[in-house]
Amino acid sequence: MIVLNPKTLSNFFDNYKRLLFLLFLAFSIISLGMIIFIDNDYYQGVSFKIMFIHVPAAWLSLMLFGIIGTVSIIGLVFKSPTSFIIARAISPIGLLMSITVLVTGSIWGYLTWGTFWVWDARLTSMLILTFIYLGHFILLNSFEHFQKSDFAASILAVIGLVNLPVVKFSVNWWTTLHQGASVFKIGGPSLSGIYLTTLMISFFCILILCLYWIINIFVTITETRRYERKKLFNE
Amino acid sequence: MLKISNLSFARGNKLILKKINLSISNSEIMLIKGPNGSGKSTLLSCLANFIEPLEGTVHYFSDLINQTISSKNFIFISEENYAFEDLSVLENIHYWLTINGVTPNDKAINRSINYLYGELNINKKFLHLSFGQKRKLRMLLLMLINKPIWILDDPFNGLDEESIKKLTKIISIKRDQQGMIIIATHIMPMLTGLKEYNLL
Amino acid sequence: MLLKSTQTLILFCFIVMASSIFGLALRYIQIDSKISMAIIWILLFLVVIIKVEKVYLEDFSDPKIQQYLNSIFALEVIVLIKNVMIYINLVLFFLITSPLIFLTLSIDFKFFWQINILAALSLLSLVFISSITASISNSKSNRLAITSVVTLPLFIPILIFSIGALDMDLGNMNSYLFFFAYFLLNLAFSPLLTSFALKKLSM
Repeated sequence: MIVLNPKTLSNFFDNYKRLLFLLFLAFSIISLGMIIFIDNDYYQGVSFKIMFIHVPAAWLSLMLFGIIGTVSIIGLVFKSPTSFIIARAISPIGLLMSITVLVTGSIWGYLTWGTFWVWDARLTSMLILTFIYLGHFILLNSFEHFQKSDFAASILAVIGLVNLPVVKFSVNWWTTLHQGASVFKIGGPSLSGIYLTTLMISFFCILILCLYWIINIFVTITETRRYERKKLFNE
Repeated sequence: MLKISNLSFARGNKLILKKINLSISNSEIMLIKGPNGSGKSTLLSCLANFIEPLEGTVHYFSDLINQTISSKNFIFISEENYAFEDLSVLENIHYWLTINGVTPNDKAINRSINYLYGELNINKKFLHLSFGQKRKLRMLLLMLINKPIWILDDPFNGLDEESIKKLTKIISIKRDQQGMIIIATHIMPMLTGLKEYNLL
Repeated sequence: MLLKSTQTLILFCFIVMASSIFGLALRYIQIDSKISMAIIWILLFLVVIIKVEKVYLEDFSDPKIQQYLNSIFALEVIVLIKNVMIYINLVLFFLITSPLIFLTLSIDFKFFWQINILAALSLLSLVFISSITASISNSKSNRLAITSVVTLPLFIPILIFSIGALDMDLGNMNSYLFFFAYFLLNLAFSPLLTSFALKKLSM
């Protein structure tokens, strides 16, 4: 098993940063082209194209939280600094993604259904995920020494990972209890053909963009800490 | 036999201890000396397994120290008070003895209090004691709990002359009983055969 | 524990006053019992967070943790016992002050036992979750006090299920199953995570 310490990982990433950015540019041009030239939906008009940002961002925010949770557990059990730096790098991007989901969803909802917000199961659990991301991000910067922040934030990630399915399950139960509210279906797997392809391409586009950002943050954190540690032992 | 090898400790970006090598055996008193802020309390905390060092190990008789070893063998007396301010002196003593697995024996407690303080109303609330009286209470724990290693962080601070003599006597009795005592202090106790380690 | 009860008494006075202010502000409007119950639960959340954080700040200061680490008991056991004592303290006070709260918020007294049992069950999980976050913010080098931001999202299922359970009968056990399950989940994680946070973050 290769032991991944921050130094080898960041050296590895440095070489592929530019490649990743070029890949992102390529994907974004393709996806933008497809989005602009795709036919408008019969019912919703132009506004449904927000889906191509909204849905990938939602998938990504959930995926990234899963990664943060797993990596935090690995970091707490094996005490590896790499996992904590990965969690620290992913946290702001995950927060950005979940806020994007809420904002684009609200705009899409206003254009289509006339309301910015409703206490639906999916919206509420997305809101709670945003709060947990926010708490994680704030905790990462709330201690004077970064090792303590890493521990505290990883504990929060573990609690979030365990409790988030419970929250989602309970909010689902709530909307079946109060059956007054109608359950809106956002997007949906009933796409086919060109729409599905466009969705997948825009998903990969945003995924590569997020990976590029995360790798940049990872490399910055590692290099900063190496520099400060060198200064420390040379004093 | 406590062996410290290559111990380093850093808090955030500040290096406090740098590659310390030390060896202490039974029936020895080790004085950790150094200027203010040189890391004496941090070294003692690393020894007692409260904080994890950046690098280096501490071995107790060829075993790496862990929670079990430290709770069975070490008594740690810190600089700050750990008593509950609202409870009386007697209730505090009972609590800390029970936590450490010693059944509180009232006769022994009264004897120790008479030795240390002379006259003291043990039903007084802890917060009504003076600073020196509060610090003397820690010596009670040393007298009543029987563990081989004592780690004392600045025990002579705030004590009057009489009490310093009594504490010195307690420490020398422990040394005769094959105990190991590690003290971080600025005041030299009047004992012979002390080993010193300077943190500069 | 009796001495610390004055702290809890003051916190529950805060609940009574806050609920009276709410009842006063809406005195001409007919409030549903469920709205009042939601108010009580939110106030209870705040009180639990404040109480647990205060107790942890005082009882788990640095030198005390050092002595607990050197004792024969594991820190997890000590944390568990402390949480249980805080829980008993809070439940007793809720039982005593609940008639007052019900009067000011005009809750029907037929819900008396139901709301008290629901409060007793919710407080179990509430205390254990807030112990984790209280131990995170227990450290001296913690610059921000953000416990509430971190803890409140985890309290939401309790609120949802409590208000849902008001529809059911008193004897219907199905409505109470969630509370036991959530409590067991938190019981499994809370002492471990709390003692871990206390050991790593406080010293």
